[in-house]
Amino acid sequence: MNFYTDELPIVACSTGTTSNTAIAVIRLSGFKKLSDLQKFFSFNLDKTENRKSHLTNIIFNDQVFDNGLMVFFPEGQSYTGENVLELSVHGNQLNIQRILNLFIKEGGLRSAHPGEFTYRALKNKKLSLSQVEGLDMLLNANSSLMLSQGLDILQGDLHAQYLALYDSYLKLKAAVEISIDFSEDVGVEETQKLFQTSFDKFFKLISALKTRTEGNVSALLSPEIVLVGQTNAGKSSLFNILLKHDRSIVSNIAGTTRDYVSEVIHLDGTNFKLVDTAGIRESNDVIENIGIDRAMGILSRAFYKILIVNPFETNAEYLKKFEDIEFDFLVISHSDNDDFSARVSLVNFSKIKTKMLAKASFKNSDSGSIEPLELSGPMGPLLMNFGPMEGPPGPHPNFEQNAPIEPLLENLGPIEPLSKNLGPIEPLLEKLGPIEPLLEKLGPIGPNSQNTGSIEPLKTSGPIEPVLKTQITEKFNKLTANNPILLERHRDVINKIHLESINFSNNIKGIDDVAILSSELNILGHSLTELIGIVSPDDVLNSIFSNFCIGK
Amino acid sequence: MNKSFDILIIGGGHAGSEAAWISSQFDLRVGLVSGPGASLASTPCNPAIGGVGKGQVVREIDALGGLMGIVADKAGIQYRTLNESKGFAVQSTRVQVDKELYTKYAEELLNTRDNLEIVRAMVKAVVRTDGKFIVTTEDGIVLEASKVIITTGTFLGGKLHTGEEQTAGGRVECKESVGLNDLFSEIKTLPNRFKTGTPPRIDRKTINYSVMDPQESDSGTRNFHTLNESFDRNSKQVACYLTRTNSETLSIIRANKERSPIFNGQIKGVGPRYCPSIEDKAFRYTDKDVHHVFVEPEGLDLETIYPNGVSTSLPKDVQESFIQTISGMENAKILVHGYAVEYDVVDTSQLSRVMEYKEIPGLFFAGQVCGTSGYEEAAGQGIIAGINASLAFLGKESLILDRNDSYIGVMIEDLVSNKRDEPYRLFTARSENRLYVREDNTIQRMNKYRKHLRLSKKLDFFQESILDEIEILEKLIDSTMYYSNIDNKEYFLSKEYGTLESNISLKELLRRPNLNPVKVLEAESLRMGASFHSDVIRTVAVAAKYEGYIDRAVIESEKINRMSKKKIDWSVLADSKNISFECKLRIKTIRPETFGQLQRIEGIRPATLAYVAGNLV
Repeated sequence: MNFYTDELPIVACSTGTTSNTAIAVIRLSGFKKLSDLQKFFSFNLDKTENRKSHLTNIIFNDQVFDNGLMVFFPEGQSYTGENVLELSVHGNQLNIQRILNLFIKEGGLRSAHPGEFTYRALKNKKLSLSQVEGLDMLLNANSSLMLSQGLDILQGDLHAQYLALYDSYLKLKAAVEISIDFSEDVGVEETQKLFQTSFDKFFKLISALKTRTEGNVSALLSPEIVLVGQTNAGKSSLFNILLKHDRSIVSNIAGTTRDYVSEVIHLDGTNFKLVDTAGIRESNDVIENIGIDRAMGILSRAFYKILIVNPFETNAEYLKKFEDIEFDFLVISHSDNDDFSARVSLVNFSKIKTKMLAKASFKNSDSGSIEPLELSGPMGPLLMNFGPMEGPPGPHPNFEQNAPIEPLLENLGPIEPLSKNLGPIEPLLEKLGPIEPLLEKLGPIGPNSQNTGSIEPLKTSGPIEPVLKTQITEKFNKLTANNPILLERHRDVINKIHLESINFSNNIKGIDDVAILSSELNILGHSLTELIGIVSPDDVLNSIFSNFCIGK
Repeated sequence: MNKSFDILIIGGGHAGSEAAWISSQFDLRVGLVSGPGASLASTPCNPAIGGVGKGQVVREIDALGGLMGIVADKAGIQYRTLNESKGFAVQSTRVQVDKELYTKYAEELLNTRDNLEIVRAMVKAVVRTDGKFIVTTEDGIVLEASKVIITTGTFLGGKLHTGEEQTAGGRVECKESVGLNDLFSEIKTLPNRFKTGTPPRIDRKTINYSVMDPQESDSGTRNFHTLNESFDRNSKQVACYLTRTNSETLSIIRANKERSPIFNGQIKGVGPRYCPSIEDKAFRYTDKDVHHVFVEPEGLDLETIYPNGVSTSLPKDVQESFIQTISGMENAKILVHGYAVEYDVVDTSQLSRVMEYKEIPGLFFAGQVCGTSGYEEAAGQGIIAGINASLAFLGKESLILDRNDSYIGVMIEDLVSNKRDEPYRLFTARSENRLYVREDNTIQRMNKYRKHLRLSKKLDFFQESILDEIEILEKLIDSTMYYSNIDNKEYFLSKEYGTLESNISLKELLRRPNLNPVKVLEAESLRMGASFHSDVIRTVAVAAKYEGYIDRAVIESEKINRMSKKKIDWSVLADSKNISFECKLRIKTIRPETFGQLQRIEGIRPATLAYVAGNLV
């Protein structure tokens, strides 16, 4: 890892370099003595008190550049561990640039590389590797979940849980080693028991961590709400209704492709990206496959999927494209039209999977209106599975054979495949007993588990916006109820360890050679040290620092 | 009287004897100083050589041309293979030895070396003058040498404890050595003294063996020395016996806590956790009263037995009463009481990997004075110190054993990369490469070192022929195929080899789980009419069995630890302010050369590791 090789003093603006603000903070780090910087300040630096603010002009050769506050953090007591000076200046970008240039040209400082302040903090032991990861998350958080987890990591809480896992691994390892190196002191039965209980405990811990990595992390890190439907279905209307009350905090997201429209809405502490696929062209006559493919791509990573269908202009071919998608909400629009019911009954919804169904009208362009809807005909059995929309569903002859949900169930509930695949773990878990309460405490097993339960019926009629927003927030809260681990590196390693634990318990089946068992256990141990971050391969550091922006 | 040597070894225990034996093979003038009347290579504690991890060391010493295996075989009176049911990699040989015969044969062998002189004297002073060491003895002899190896065991500041009785000395009935005090004022020792102990010796005629479980000598265990016929014994074989303590035993000990030097503060030294005294067991494991006691004869003609498992420094009267509570020892008579010894230990982080004191070139240390326990550990250091002192004298490149291919290498790297806080013993768990570092492939692992140094040339023919046979048999198991035809299918069933669904090689057959690869290869090579040395069959069969696992382990550890072999440039990093003060202190004393060594130092913080990792050469 060679990106920050020198130890020159560095400078950067820590409060962003894109827009003008009232105040900006410029940070200087790594200069030898504060007095070296005297030529830039009207304030007599000999009188500086550590970690106290002083008012000063920023000057050079009699020219005043700005007037602001300075705070000096001496070596050892600063963020980077080096001498640090923080200047609060007026936040005009031209002003900031002029001051930065001053220090670079006349002060021998170098413009900081992205993440360099934090790198120096790591280097100087002010932060640990995982704290850096936590900080990164905190600074880039777009949900209160990320904020809290970033803070958790920064304060070392998550790391403590990893250490507990490592500790239980060491106990497991010890149980094996005892049976080899102290075979004459400790009986075979005793060591076997010790090994079994240690493994049970270890597996319980890694399984608990594993449940926190399930589900789609990108859906949690930047949750997207996606609207799909044919032209005139009402996507844009719904888009605007959802945005209406959030205009003030909406901003354009840079870098998105222009073939769809997206805005950010802020719901209950979390930023959601609302995507209207309106820009993706489709025609009533010919399905433009590229457009559909693109919509499919967006849908696949979407957190909340809304399909809007205009029963008056529905292309059966178009609907068929969505057979494999599981929607969160199916809105059948234009419900204010007279022959709405008649038109709906003509559309074949039988292959569309959704968790909620409602009819809507966008007549009132401010709020729209939404009403419960029950579909009869081919859609019937499907609906029953999702629970009654209003009142108890009538019995249906096809109920038993009904398919769409079944395969879903098998694939989803993470508990199922677990116990099926495990083999030797099975008796273990049984013996443990407390696996149930453990899972209960953690909340839903996985983000998908709600799919297996019945769906809350839409009961009330009224404006669309509050109903949808409640649905979205509830789904998000359910997903985050098990305190998912958001760091990709951690998730990968945890899943690797979990898989290796299962492989380990499969591999040792029928092996009576304790030396082999121990060797297999060592391999498991390597992944654990990766999680703890003790042995940090270069690329871990690289990937961490490449994610940093200047001045952090 | 003046005597001049090239290599002078001070101390005639297992480390010193081994160092003297191997040094004498370099055609140098070697001196070995040992106290008058003190027996050479004595076994003052447990009269056994080998054990888990230690058996591997003895075989490594033997394959290098060392002394221990030869002597242990001559004096061996009960052989066992430990961990026989736990896998080939962790199987180890242990031999009970007749302690009289052991020291007798060791002395005889050492006397066969013309260029080795054994000086019987107590050292009075050791002085350093321009590149030479001048050793004067109490009777006025002046010995001069350019390389000195200190192997003084527990004699450095040694103090014996039996209950309230305290005497100076390193061993019962032996004087303490004070002559090294001047030299040792320059040597850094560990702040904490170490402690070890030994059980009382019991008159064998007063023991009722009929209530104990006998453990006969295993005729299927191989001798240590490879030039001996594998299963022929030099001495008569006898049984050991197993008995146990009970609640009465432990309650007597617990009632006398105040009189125990370990628990009343009289002994301040740190004892080994892996070899606790019976007092330790009584007070640390309060819910357990039944502990194994192995009843081991100290010699064929000796009256004493060694009750393994009840080492103690309790007062004599307490020893007598608790011993008599043990089943079969109701009338036991103690001939020599148990005692503990406290002693000073050299800070081995001051040593280089050739066992040389970094700040005093030419001065080497080996054995218990380095904080290890066990005869085998001592001998393993002795042979390395002896070889390297000789190589240094000759101006040749030193020999450093890799921790990946020997337990001696593991031990020495562990010793020099850490300050110890308790006596160091080898465990197989200390080796990262345990599946490979086995007893059965010792020749494969050590031949290159011995051959390079031209040690014990009489081993040449045997080791070469074994290696040749291994090569041939390895090719054979690869090329021998079992085709999936009716004959072979039936053959497999009749031999209980499992089914034969498709063609497989003999090697693949050896790897099948639930088959003993050694037995299978024995049978199959016999069937082919091929005649291989039984050691060869064993080595090849076990290697075939482990190959996949070893490869996997190597790939995994290289993947993760690819940094561990990278060199650290301390000239750049040593003064960096990015390394904490405590870490710096440890690094400065230990001077790890690679990242792997740095990682193994206790107390090095992750942040330091991360920093160094970012600045590797």
